[in-house]
Amino acid sequence: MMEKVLEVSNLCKTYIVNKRQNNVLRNVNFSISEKEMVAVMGPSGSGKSTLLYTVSGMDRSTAGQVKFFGQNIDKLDSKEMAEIRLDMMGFIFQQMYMLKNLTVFDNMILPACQSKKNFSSKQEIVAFGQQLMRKLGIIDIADSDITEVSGGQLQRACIGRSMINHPKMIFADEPTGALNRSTSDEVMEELVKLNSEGTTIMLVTHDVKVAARCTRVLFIDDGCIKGEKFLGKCENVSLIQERERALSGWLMEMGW
Amino acid sequence: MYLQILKKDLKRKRTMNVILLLFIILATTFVSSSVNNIATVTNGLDHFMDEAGMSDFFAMTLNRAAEQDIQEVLDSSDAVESFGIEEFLIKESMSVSRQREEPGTDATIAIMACEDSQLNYYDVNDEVITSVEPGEAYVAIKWLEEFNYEIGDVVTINIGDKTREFTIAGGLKDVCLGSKMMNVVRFMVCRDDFNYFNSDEEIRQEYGGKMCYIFSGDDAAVTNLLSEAETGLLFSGSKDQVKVGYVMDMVISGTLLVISICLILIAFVVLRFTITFTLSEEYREIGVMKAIGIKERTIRGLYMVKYFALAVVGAAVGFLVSIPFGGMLLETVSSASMLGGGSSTLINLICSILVIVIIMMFCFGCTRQVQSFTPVEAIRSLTKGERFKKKGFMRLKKSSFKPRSFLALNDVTSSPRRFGLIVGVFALSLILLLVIDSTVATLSNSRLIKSFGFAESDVYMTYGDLLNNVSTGDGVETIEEYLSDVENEMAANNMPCECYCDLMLKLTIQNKEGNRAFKSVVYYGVNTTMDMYDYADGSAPSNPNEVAITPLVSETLGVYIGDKITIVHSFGEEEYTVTGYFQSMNNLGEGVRLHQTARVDPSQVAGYNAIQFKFTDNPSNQEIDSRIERMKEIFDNSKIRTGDDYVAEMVNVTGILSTVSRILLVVMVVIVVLVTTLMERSFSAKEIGEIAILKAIGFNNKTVINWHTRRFVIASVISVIVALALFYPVTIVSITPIFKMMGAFYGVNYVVRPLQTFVIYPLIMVAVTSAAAWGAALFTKTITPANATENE
Repeated sequence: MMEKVLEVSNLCKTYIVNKRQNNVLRNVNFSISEKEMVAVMGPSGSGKSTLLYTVSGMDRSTAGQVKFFGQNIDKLDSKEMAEIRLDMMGFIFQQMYMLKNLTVFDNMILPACQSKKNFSSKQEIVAFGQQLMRKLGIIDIADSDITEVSGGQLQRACIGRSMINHPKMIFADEPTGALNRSTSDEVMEELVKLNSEGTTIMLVTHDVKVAARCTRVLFIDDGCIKGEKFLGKCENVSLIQERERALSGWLMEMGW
Repeated sequence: MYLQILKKDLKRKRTMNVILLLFIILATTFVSSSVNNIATVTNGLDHFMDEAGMSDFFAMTLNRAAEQDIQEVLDSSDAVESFGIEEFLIKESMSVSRQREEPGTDATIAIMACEDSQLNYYDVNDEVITSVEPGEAYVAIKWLEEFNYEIGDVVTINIGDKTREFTIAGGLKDVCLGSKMMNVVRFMVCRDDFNYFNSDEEIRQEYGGKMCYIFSGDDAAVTNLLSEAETGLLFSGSKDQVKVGYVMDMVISGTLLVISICLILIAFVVLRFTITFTLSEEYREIGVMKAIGIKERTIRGLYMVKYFALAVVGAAVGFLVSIPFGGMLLETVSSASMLGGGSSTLINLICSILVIVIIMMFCFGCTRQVQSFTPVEAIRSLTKGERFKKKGFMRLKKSSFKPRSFLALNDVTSSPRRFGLIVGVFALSLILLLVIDSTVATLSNSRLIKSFGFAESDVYMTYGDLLNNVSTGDGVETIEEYLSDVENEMAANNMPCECYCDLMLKLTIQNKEGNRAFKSVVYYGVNTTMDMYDYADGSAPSNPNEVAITPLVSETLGVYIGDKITIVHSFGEEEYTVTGYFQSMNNLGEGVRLHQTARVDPSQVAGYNAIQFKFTDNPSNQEIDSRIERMKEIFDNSKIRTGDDYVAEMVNVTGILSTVSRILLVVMVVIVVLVTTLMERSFSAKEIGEIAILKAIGFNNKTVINWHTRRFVIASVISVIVALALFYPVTIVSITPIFKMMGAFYGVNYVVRPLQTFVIYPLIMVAVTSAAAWGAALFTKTITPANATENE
């Protein structure tokens, strides 16, 4: 029996815009178990990104409960939440957000330098960072400025940064959204590899090809989870197209 | 359309617009008040002289030393076009008691009748004083302020055996004796009150004199006339020399000018930075507008309208604030004189308009740059408002700093222009403060006594009747006896010391050819030896026929070391060989030092420095302070003080310079707080995305606030280092010319107060920066990880 990493119950998120209430998430319920790779799909404005930010503690919910490894994250103060984000979570954004005054490598190891838990020395951090970069195929750009490298390379560096503290779970908001097809495939390759090594992943995407690599897909519309599809582990690459077709069919049924 | 867009823009980018508005207000306030102050201060003295009707030449004579009446001498001269005379009574170290709890003070008071006024004397409201009620007196403002006298205070004046009480009716602005360097306090009463004293023949003879205001186109002829006549000349000088008396007032005015110029520079540099910074935020929008086909002129017009609106509002507020702010700065110099030529709101208004024009020029320049970009360039390359190039040289992987310190240090080194500006502004503020502090310390340090041409000692005592004893008794022997009695008295009280004193005579000196002559102060030491004085060049006089002279005397007479000069004594002319040069800030640099065995006529002594005490048992400073208290009781004299206090009293401007220094400290703190707060808010408004990323990857609020605060702390520490490295040379370059004007031709050794210079002021700078940066960085708490999407 896999351990529950994330348990979301009756989650609501409401924004007040111009004195008008906008219910972005309405009573959302789902859970994610260890080693799962879950994609959240849905039309634009359906609340995908809000869901990701709320369940990852980057934004506060209006009502409901989010448990991360059994801990209710809504009860945590900003300092405790920051510690969880630092040591147990990893984040990948659609845009390759990095600090512009640091090199690619320094950006990547920054969370490890800030954390006091995962490494005993700076040398250890540097060694692990280099190992990660090699694994991601971007060791050549380690000392480059973030403006000197391609989007794909930068997104891989962002993946590296999200992995540097050995997180239990990675949240990714359209990680391939700003990349071309081949780069997108490379990035997904890395995420699948990560997942196969035991990291739980929740990602938001518009791309059926990306979602087809995940173990489960949640479909969200108008702030509610309308359905979910279990795809299972993608053991065989030759079956990807078949998974894509099946997923597309299901999505059409869901009204996408 | 413009107004619609403007309205929306002002609302949407509220933070940056408010920051820009604040900088415009700041710049307008500084520029308007500073330019007004510059106009006021630079024209102030000339304006005061003109309004008061100051003559070309001024002379003061004493009846007791006069063999000829000055009025007759002037009447008979062709060089004199016209002249006016004010009779006065002068008493050195007059004890002025007051009917209040505070003790009275000693001062050299010159009493005159209002009806005799040859100049315009002004009250505090710059109105000419035309009459004084019986029993009332108008007194020099410099003295009222220094000793905390107030209108309504009743003071008692005692001359000879006559005493009368006066109620202070107000302060008096006196162009001739009003400078800090003139240690004479004008006391204006009505004719009846003046005659109460002056009608006594003995008093008139002993304390009486004449102030002569001479109009002449030929200064040299008047100088010769006065030096040849035996009119009992106490002081004489041209209008320009009277002006030089205001040198210390000019130091203060000069300081104000420097502050003003620095404030203007700071205002414009910061303003330009902020405009460029805020405009860079707009590049992307400009690109989009270009892409959809809006004409460049229209795009530019949009931004020009926006900045014009901000500039007008900011300049209007700045204009209103500049009036009281400028007044506050001017108050330090305007109280004792009548400044004019500025202080009009018109200058403030013109400056405010100028600020608007300059802002529009900055904007025009910045938007012109945008014209050359294609829409794609504007959107892509310049979304962050800067061209990318290699950033800082620091590497986290090699650094031993914690991330927050590393990020702060890396930001500073990666953005040298941005933080260089902050360092420059902070360093400039601190340098100004340190220069003034060092000047104040120098002007109140006993070491400076040597620059006045006197010997140093532990304690200085002023004794009112000493001069009378010299001129009416047996002269130098009387003083020697008096000093010997004092030494014995001190020894009997377990305070062994040597006592000595420098007498000052006003004698005619001339070169060997006799074609150049003038009346100069001649110094003669009683109980001193020649090695107790400093000589800048040559050697000390070693026999009665040798003298040392100041560079001013050397230049005036055209005599140098080895040459002969002649001094005209009452007993005849004596020839002396010049053996060396010394400097004296007394009488603006004039002076001749006689050997201690030279012959002088005691009746020609016009003044003395002080009775000086040099303890022979090397007591500590604390012990000296305690001895001073005992000496005050023994000699029943309150005018006994340390060298530091005595020098401060001689220079007479340390109090006001200390005030300037305190104002500068406040100005520095205000600048640091404003610049830090506004810069931090500008930076964090632009770094919302980066802060959000850091929060998303697990940095807590405290770390982010720490990171931002440390950037400014680093900048302030660098500025402290820069300021400490530069303030001393800046002091030498900026202050030495003023000391030279005062007579210290060879410069002075500046005193640096280590505690203030290296500890207190730097700590204030760093502490204020830290507090302001921390306060402004609290804003980052409102940024959540979800704001990461605002990175673009």
